[in-house]
Amino acid sequence: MSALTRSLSVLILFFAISDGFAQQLEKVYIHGFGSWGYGRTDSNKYLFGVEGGEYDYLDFALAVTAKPKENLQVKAQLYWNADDDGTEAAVDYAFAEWRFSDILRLRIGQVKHPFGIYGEIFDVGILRPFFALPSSVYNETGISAEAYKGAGFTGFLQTVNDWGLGYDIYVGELNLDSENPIRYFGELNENEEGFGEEHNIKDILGGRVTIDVPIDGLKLGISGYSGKEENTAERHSVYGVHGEYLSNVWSVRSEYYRQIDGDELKLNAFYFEMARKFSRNWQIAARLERLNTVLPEVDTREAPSLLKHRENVIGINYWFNSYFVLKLSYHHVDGNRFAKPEALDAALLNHTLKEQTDLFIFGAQFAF
Amino acid sequence: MKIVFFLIVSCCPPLLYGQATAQGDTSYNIIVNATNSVSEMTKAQISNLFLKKVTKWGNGKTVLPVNLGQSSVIRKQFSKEVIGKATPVLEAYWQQQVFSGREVPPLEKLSAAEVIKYIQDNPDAIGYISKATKLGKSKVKILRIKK
Repeated sequence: MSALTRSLSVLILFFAISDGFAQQLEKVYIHGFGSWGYGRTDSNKYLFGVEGGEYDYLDFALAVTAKPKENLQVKAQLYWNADDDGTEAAVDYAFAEWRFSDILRLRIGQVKHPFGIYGEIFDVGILRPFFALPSSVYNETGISAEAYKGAGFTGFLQTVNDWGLGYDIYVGELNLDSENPIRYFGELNENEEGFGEEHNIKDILGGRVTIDVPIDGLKLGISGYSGKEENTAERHSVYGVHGEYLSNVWSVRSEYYRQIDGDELKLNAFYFEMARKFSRNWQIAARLERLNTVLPEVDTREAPSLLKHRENVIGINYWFNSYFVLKLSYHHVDGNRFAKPEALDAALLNHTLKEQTDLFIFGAQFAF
Repeated sequence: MKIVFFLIVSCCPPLLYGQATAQGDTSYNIIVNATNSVSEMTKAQISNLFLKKVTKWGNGKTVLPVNLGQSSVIRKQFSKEVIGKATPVLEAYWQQQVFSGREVPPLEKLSAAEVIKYIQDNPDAIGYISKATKLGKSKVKILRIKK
């Protein structure tokens, strides 16, 4: 057990027994969130689950907001993550915001990606009904990044009859933690150049518009961006729609996106999830996901399942309060876009690739 | 439209003198600094201040909303009746605001006396306290809730 894991375990225990602790000074605010999870699959590796079970998933983040002057806010969030692939520490965001008015705020630095429903709260497990985000949109698809580096404007306008309009517009660079499946077919087709797992999308122009409708808790939106992939110079564009309804009892969310990487890759991603609380503590949830990837210039007949991800999930949660929840979920996955064996090359060569994967996740998520 | 009205209310309170308003049947009073030119607001306007969707008074000064502690019965009633959300939904709202780097929740004070003192010391603050709390000679005033 590493020192980081030990330290985080102590912190988890501390915050688990604290009811909504948050350090709030007059001008500096400190908050945090974290997760621990166990994942077990029947065969392929998927998310942090492996055959035989894995206890090592752990993450923790600290968010600091300072208000040194009226109209100026400086914000940063540090994030630690540990799993069987190792430990990483990262800056989630660090930026300054100048508030001209409620409808015009300038943000400069590394800013959380204002994309879709979960783009800005990518790692915050306490804000969703399942331990893990929908893979179809938020796994290594290349659809959403965790942050953009650059500058943007954001604002919110409350209009007549309880309508509200929120917007973000930004320019800069996105670092996409994505895996282009062409790499596998590239090997089969003797053509695998420039498809690493990190993609820098430069010179992006992106935006999001959300509309609060007069039905309390209902919000609809559109998101999109476009830029040039640094290595291949291909244009990378994503656009789509999203909607959510949140009430005391129900949470319903759905998103659809289309991604186009020049002539090389096209994909459609969709999910629908809903959850209902049956008491103050118990919640059940279900999710359906579909992701279809098309590589127009590559012969994919060798292993078409590497382009497909279909997932059905059910889950049950026990909320101690808004700051601490236990989650149990069962995932049935059809396709190998994300669920793969450890030795994929051997499975492809031997034609033993298993296309169906069952995953159980149990974990705790918390915030303060 | 609401914003325009809000600005008018904030900047030109004399226009509203003499208008009939009624305090709802609540167990709390909403209070502001005695020097604040605003005398009445709708629940929607107050809600926007406490959700920090609107962060400026009509005079351009930053609004400083202050909440009672999380376990306060008065806070729960205020949240439900004025903001229109149950406590868990509000807590999730603020978690989302904080971790997306957008906004932090209003300051919390654990007692009515602390709320009154904070509002006395900060001309741009707004808070709420139990109706049973005596204001005495404190330099705060009760805001009328416009229906």
